[in-house]
Amino acid sequence: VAGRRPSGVDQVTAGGATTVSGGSDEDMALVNQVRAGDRRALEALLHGQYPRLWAVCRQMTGHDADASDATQNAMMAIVRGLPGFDGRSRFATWAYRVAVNASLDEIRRRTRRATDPLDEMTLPVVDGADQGIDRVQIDAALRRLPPDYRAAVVLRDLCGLDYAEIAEVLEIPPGTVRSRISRGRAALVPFLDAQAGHPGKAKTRQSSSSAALRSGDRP
Amino acid sequence: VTDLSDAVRQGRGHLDDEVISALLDDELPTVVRDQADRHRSGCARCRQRSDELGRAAMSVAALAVPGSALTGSALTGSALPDPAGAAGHRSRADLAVAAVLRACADAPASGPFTLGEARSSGTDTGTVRGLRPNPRAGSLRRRTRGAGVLVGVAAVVGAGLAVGGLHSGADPAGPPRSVILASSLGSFSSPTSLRSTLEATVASIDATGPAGAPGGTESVPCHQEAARTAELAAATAAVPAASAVAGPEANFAAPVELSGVPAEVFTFPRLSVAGAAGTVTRVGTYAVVVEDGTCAVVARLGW
Repeated sequence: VAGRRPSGVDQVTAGGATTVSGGSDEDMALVNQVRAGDRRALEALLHGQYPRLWAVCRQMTGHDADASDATQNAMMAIVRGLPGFDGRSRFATWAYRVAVNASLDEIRRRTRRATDPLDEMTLPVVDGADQGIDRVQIDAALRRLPPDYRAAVVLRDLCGLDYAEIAEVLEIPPGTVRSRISRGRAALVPFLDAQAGHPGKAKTRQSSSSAALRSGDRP
Repeated sequence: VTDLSDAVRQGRGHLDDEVISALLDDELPTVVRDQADRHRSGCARCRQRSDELGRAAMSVAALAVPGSALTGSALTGSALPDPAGAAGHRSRADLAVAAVLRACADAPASGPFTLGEARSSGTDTGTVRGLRPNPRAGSLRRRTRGAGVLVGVAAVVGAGLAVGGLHSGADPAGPPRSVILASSLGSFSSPTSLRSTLEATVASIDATGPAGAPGGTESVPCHQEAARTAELAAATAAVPAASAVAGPEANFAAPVELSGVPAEVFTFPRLSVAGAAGTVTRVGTYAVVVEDGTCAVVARLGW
């Protein structure tokens, strides 16, 4: 369930799964200590942020090594940017923004590993309705979403941010957030269909999902 | 969404995906949410679509914790490609945080430091710049012997490499960027030239100062280099054969010896660099050489 939540509490998304914690108001206490020059507080702050930064970077970049780079770059950017952090947004929200930007930078740098366009995506076909869905394959499917859509889906379903927070992180209108999340999830449905043993349905839906993603954002 | 009737119209009598998705996320105004909920309850098609989108959301959410099982009747889990699991995650965090802390300041670990002075990692600009030679780097020869670690695979220099910052007199505020792209890289006239250049690099680094902590304050965590190097090694496994076929412009690998330790260097044509010829510096755990103003190599130093 989305919405503003107690800081530091893991969230349950629409799918019922527990997500990465959205952060803690206690972060601000650490931030203030860091600003006062407390190196131990900085270490604690970075350690506290690492899991969620890593989670965003890992799913945004779709690659362990790229995620390591992006996460480290995000932490560096956080350290550099702390003096200018005005506290108007939650620290975790700001940190997510930094992580998304670092991931997008990393993706741009790693064009040599660019995935195929979604409409060229070859859906793995698995026989049998009881066949399980492999996390690795879901990871791969997510990676095939355009980065803008992937970011919205990851921030919502993996990080548990609400739409307003995602809008703040991505600096886009809330309506665009809703559209990107919807289309991003819809694009994953054919993949899940294929995994569940419905390749025919998956192929049909894949075409419409691809068309939806190509049609661009709604305001 | 303020009026469900519009959404239903767009969905041709059914809720459209945006409404269903927002309904799943409890992101609809109360009145609209109640209307949508009622519609969904009485509409098999919308219920099915709601299940599908919810399952997509859940599949992504289940990626949150490596090793956690997906839930749901048709879903079973297998681990993300994170063989180290939770312990590896902690280790990765420790290394990354330590590297950032090292980069933040040269102040003692327990002392105060100044924010905003951490050297850029290049995230914003994609620019790769070098670092000062580390006066505490110590002797590569001694370090490699003592650690019993072979010098690793030589790596690469990449696109956007601002070699103006790669020489030994580089901007001291240059970033500790050690992850180096391979999309546009330098070449060497021959493996012999490369070897001599690398040996000169080692000698230069040996001369930089007394022994100190491996990696020094300019380094970034070795795990990144390890991952990158392994990746590059795999990616360039066929480089020699490709080079033989493709000619001098193709990438190639050449065996070299650094301080008596076997190593391998990959070279990549088409790097355009602007650094002064023969200049050497360290970037993280790599030694960087600019040769003839157009060539560059990064040799992993083995710690």
